[in-house]
Amino acid sequence: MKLGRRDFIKLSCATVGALAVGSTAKAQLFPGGFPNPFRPPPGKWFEGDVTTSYSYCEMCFWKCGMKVSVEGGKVRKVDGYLENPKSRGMLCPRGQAAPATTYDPDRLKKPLIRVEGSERGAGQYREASWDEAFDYIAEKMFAIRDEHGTESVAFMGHGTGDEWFASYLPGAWGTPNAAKPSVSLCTAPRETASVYTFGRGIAGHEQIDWDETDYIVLIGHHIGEDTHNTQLQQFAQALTRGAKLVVVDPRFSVAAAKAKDWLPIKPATDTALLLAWINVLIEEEIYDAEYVEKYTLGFEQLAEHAAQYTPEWAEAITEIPADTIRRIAREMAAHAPRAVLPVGRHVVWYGHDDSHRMRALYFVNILLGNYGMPGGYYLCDAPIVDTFPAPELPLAPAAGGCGGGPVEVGDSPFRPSVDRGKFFGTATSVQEFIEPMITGEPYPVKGLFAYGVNIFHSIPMVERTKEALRHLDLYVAIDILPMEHVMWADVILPECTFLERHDDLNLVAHKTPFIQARFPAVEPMYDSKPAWWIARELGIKLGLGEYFPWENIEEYLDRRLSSIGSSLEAMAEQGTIVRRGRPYIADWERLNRNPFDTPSGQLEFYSERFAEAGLDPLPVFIDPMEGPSGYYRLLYGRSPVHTFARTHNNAVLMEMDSENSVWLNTREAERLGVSHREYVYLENQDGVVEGPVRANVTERIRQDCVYITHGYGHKAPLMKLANGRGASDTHLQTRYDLDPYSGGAGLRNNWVRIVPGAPDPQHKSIAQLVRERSQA
Amino acid sequence: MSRMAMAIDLAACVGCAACSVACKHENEVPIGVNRLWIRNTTIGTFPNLVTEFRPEQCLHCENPPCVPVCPTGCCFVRADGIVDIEPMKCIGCSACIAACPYDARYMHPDGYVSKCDFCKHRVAKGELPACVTTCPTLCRSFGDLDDPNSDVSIALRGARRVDLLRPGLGTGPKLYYLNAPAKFGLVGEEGQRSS
Amino acid sequence: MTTAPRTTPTETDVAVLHLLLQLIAGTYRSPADALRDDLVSGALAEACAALAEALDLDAPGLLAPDWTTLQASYIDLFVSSGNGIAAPPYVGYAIDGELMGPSAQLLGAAFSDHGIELQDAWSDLPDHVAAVAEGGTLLAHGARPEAALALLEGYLAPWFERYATAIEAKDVSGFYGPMTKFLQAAIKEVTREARS
Ligand code: SF4
Ligand code: SF4
Ligand code: SF4
Ligand code: SF4
Repeated sequence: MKLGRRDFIKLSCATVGALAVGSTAKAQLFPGGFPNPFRPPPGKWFEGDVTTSYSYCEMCFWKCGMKVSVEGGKVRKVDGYLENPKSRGMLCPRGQAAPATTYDPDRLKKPLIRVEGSERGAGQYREASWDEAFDYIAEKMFAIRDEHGTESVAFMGHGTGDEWFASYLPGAWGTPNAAKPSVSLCTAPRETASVYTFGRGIAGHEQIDWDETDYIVLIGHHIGEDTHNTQLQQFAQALTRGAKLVVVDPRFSVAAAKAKDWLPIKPATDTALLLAWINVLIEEEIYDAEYVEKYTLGFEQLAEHAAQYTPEWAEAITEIPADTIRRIAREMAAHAPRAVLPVGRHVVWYGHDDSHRMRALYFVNILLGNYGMPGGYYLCDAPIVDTFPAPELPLAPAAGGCGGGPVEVGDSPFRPSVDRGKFFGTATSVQEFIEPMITGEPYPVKGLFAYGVNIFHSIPMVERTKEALRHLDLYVAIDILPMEHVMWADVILPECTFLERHDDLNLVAHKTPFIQARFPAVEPMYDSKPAWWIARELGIKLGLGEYFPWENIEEYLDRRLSSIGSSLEAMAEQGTIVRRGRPYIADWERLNRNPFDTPSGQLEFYSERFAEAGLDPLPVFIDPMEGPSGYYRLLYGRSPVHTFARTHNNAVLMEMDSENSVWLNTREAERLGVSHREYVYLENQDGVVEGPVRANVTERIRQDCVYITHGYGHKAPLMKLANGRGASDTHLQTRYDLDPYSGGAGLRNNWVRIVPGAPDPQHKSIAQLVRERSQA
Repeated sequence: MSRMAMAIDLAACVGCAACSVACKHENEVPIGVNRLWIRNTTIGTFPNLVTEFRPEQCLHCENPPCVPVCPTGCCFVRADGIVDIEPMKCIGCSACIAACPYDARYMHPDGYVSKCDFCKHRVAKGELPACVTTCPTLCRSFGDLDDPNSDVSIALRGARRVDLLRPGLGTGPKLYYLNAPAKFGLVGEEGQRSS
Repeated sequence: MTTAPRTTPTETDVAVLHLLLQLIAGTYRSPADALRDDLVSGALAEACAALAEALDLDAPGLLAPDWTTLQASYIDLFVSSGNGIAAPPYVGYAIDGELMGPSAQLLGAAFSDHGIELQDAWSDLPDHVAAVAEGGTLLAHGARPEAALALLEGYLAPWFERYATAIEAKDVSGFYGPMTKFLQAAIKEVTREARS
């Protein structure tokens, strides 16, 4: 090829005038090209030297058994494994994305201490050594103890490590003010109702016998949007097998899309529907009389009580036709006992109503004769593994657990928790710890530990929480990411991600109870540490060393495992040990044992204990609070790819669902002049504004409510992917209704109006942010 | 010879994207592009609605328009029916991206075209593709169409109805959609309004 | 990691590439004074001859175009026509079959990553074939010949592939038809040589 002296030809062609070279050439997306055809593809990880180890997933609380593949010192892939009863070889999207959390460059890297004299929330920190951080914390804790007593330090925890921070350390230190948001902001009503009905908690993860059931009725239960792995698997398998599905929900949820009947109920009226079902089952004598006769107490009172709740009565309240109510009740009965109304997980909806709703739900199940029967609710208990021999804790841990019953606080030299007496149940209630921080009543709370709890994205009344934090003498946050609430702490302790650490054994109540272990796949990155280590080192600084008599976690785990004839080494090869369960009543009767731990030893319809406490002994329907006109009830739920507010900085998951939107019925949108995908603001009944958030104009929701997925709307500039995307439901929850039975905080008593015309926030794509982050 | 194929039961799929995330890590698919994505469409009016969750990826067409347009011959059909790309030979000309009517292909930032390859490295080891393995609704099946006992053949026989994505194009897809929720088949094709 | 078999482009290669892109840009811009000048002065014919010589091709036999006919033809081929235009002048459309689709987005991102920005005065879509070619000249000029080549292969070539025949068939000016044919041949030659 040659080109002579004419290559300087002066064409005016060169100036089309479309483009120009800008002043700054950014780094290149495609190094060298458009894209570069010269660069060969890199080698694939699976062609390298791959090793695997066992763990259990921490991307949500479900804790599926997981196998972790490492190549070149990096976690490359995670998978379920068949021998594990939770994952059964599969993982949900969040589990699959676990490596992207470990390799999130925005992680907390070193212990940080707030700069002396700076405001909480101003985000001014200096790096510190672990030792210095512990000294700082210990000094403040001693000062609080000396002035106010040990009870004035409160602990909140969520995640596997919460055993250390919401149970063990508070028990050793001596405070009953330890709580998990997973109780009073999630499962509390169903637990209290369950304990007082069945004499057992809803152990494990919603003990539904999916594999055997033929007829399923979901009440506001978002399977499919909640991607609780095993539950989703079994639900889908049941449908594939031909089980029939009815979904009761104001919104055409993913589950509703799979249902034969969708009942778009008026929000907050579910209890009326359940009571009407009780009425039909009894009036038409289609309940399981034999089961009721054999296992229950108080049927006469229930029958008399339920007579008032006719389908016609319920139709007026729920907007579901009486005929439909009757038809579904008959269908349920026809499939009983292989017909089930599964209990959901997050059930703190309306406060006063919640325990009533849960009990009514259980009662329908009992009338169908399915509790402890194939195709209904199976019975399960966690396997027993000895604890490490250590002195008894001064105070029994008070936080309870979302999967177990409430913990009774017996005689103790310590003052009762600050929420005692506000409600009937005995597990602590996380949102009730906030007020005493401000008022000092019944006694002051001056110190707070937040372990893995996003207190600004779970506890309602965020401004009140911030106010409370300003009153504290000590606020410690232990987390893996610089969440907004973390950047308010006096001391920030960086935990490593679950792929980088051991944890305690996970003892799972399941149809086949099992024990699973977590091994680190890689070393902790940066200066981050595992929860067990942080708790122990801090414990030693606090003079509580005697309660941590193990040198390291390996010793601790090995010792525990030896009590069941296993060892850490064996567990490393195996990951999971599966036990046989006793899922059905018949399995207990064969051993001459009674599974129902109620005072009567029976399933209790009528509760003497509630009556004695001045509460309703039978479930009643309470008219829901109404909102101001022009406002919609704010409902919320989950994105299938996110957990709480925890995963919104995970690049892979954010790419899948990077922003929430507010679901608004088409006709309401027309009335308001809001178009699909347009940005709007949400303003709640107290004038709190969230957004801009996109409108999802849809037929899939009723006209009296709107819906957003939870966990978005982070106000955390250090979380580059999460920050400022979408709207936060928690920030719009400026009121809640306390359930007098369980202490749960009913969060769906907030209303919003749609304010059109919000500016487009011009969010960068996740790919763009990831690129910018990697170049920074 | 074999004809590897996949089937997705839309009656079970909930659009959770576990498949897509698994694919992302398994195949190191860069942020910004995907081998597998979910289309979620609703039709009808309240309260009579149908929502379909439809994962889409390369259909491993039996008559793939992407292959003949490739100037270097780096796009080809393997003996087992997997439509594959040899990245070393790819010059990044994008002709195949333009030719694929299903948008299945993307440009890797390193300058070559990529797409779903049915996880051929896993298939070679006798494993299932990553998306099939992890799917929590077990709605995906994979295998050889020529083997009547393969998972995919069994799933196809058991299906109430089987749909192909735009069959009129004559591409002969080997990704089958089973039990589409709408009476008329796949939604979201031309002429349907989504709600 | 292996290195792709590719030699560094010579100065002459770059000059040819640059000239080709200039000619594409010049040919498909809207027909105004600048194009008329290039035609009248013979600069365009000279440039074609130089490129033809370098690539061992036949220079296009341009009819002496009547200016009004040429303008009308441009409109008919690329802007609006009663029977539908022969060739939407957007490279992204040629690739994706939609305006401002993924290819146009990718192209825009890549341009901006190379520090090339759209002028405010430009009122057409950014992936107009003339604009894209102009971007190529900026790249070739700015010592990024590989990028320019990739642009030629990845975005401009598909446009010619898709529309060249239609343009040749519908052209009445005697300019766009022969130029398109010539430029398409030149692209093939340049990419073939670059790959050999
Ligand atoms: S359900 Fe998903 S996120 Fe939760 S533990 Fe299981 S795999 Fe992990
Ligand atoms: S993982 Fe399965 S259920 Fe989830 S979107 Fe993919 S195919 Fe559907
Ligand atoms: S789906 Fe597209 S990329 Fe896959 S074989 Fe068919 S035409 Fe080719
Ligand atoms: S078969 Fe493999 S490459 Fe294809 S979509 Fe599934 S996971 Fe991705």
